[in-house]
Amino acid sequence: MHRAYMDANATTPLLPEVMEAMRPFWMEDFGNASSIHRQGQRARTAVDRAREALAEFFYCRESEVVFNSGGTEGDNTALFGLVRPGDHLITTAIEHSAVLRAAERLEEHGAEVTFVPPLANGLIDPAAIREAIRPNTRLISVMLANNETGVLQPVEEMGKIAAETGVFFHIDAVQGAGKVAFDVRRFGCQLLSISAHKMHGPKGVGALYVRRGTPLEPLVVGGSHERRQRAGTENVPGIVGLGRAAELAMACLEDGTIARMTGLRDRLEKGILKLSDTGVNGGGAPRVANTTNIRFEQVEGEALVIALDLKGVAVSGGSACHSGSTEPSHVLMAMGLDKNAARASLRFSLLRTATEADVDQVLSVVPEAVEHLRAISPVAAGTAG
Amino acid sequence: MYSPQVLDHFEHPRNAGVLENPDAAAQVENPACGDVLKLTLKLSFGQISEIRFQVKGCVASMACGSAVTELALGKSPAQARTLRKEALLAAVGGLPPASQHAAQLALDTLDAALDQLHLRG
Ligand SMILES: Cc1ncc(COP(=O)(O)O)c(C=O)c1O
Repeated sequence: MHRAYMDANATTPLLPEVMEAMRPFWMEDFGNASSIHRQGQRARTAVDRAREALAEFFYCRESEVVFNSGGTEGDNTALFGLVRPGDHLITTAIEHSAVLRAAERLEEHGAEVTFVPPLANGLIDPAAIREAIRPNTRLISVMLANNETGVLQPVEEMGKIAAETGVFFHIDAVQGAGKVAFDVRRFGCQLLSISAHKMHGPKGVGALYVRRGTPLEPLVVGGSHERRQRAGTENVPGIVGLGRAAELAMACLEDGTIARMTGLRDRLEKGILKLSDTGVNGGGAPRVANTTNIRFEQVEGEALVIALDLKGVAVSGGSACHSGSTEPSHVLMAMGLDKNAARASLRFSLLRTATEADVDQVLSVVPEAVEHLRAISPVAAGTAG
Repeated sequence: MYSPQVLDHFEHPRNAGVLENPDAAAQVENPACGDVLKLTLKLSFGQISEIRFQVKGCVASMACGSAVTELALGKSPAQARTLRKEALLAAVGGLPPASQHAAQLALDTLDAALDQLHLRG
């Protein structure tokens, strides 16, 4: 059976070029990048090359790239590294749990936190960020693209507000990488985090952009790696993979890939919306090319995920870390959906390598699966009570 | 994550639907997760001769709704009362820890339906 993987926002496979780039660094070129002998030099050269790629990717200096273990660490470092007890943090109600849980921890330790809610279409209004600023506001942390809806936030406007008010600005750009062009100066951020595994790179590696002069306290201390910003022997194969993935992501922003993905996503969305009682969450806002979040009224998302999986289509309900729990998506709830509508929503997120055949497969199995679940439902069948 | 039996009930639900003029009908909602199960049944010669279920909920709730109809069919109301959670769990090949509530929903709904028979004398 052809399997259509529609869960790229959970994770992506390595592209072959990434796998090839990483391959020598497991066994032949296994050196520690801090060693001064030949093996160490080869590792150092590879890490430096990856850093050049990331500097180009972020549009920053090489010295402003800090390699780490991924998006969660980048988000945690940004928040814990800048916000102290008594400081005020502004973030949003729709962030990834890597930001939300860190913000809650800061609250427990005596910081003040404002969670700005989104508009019904999933957008954060920059005016609401401005209104939330207090004399003791230290940091604004907003995601570039939401992992569940794909909605793109107006980060440039927020960056201007941060600059005008002298507040630091962190962008969780994990879900924007390889989908929109980055320019940290234009975004107006001091900090920006990405994760390799969301952009066809390896898991457990990422990078944090730290603008020169930002008084960021490291989260992980020890050796003097990464200009003392992040201790620990460099994950050389992972960093090499991230570097190659960043190069390929930059290329795909210019070779028509994004337009092709938008076309596939839109065809998928239109096809599914032919079903009755369906709707797109966040459809009215600017979105990344690969994501659509669709509501199937009267259907339990978890049951539909499993039904589609049995028919060879991999999707997810809410965010990956919530599946298996009975909590509806905090993102959709914050957008004003009720519990039933939130639980009836699924995320389809396409890989960069998605094909017309993948979309055909989804469109050939979704209607039947939805009808099966609705037919058996006392609510949908109108026999409730 | 789910047992083959759960997936089989999910893909091929037994006794799905709703009976016209049932002797008992009950619909129960699990307030925690919002799952809704409806059972309708008919008696003949003191036995549950027909039973149907409808469900809006997760895979586990669907499987338990389907399985509970199989277990109750052909039993007297008194026998059906004695159906235990362990028996239902065994029938679906076990449930993940997070989905145990689905078995409780099925048994609560069956109980609610059997209560109606009792009330009618
Ligand atoms: C928006 C966002 N931020 C952060 C993360 C965490 O990244 P990682 O899995 O690399 O820790 C994710 C991944 O799910 C994400 O989607």
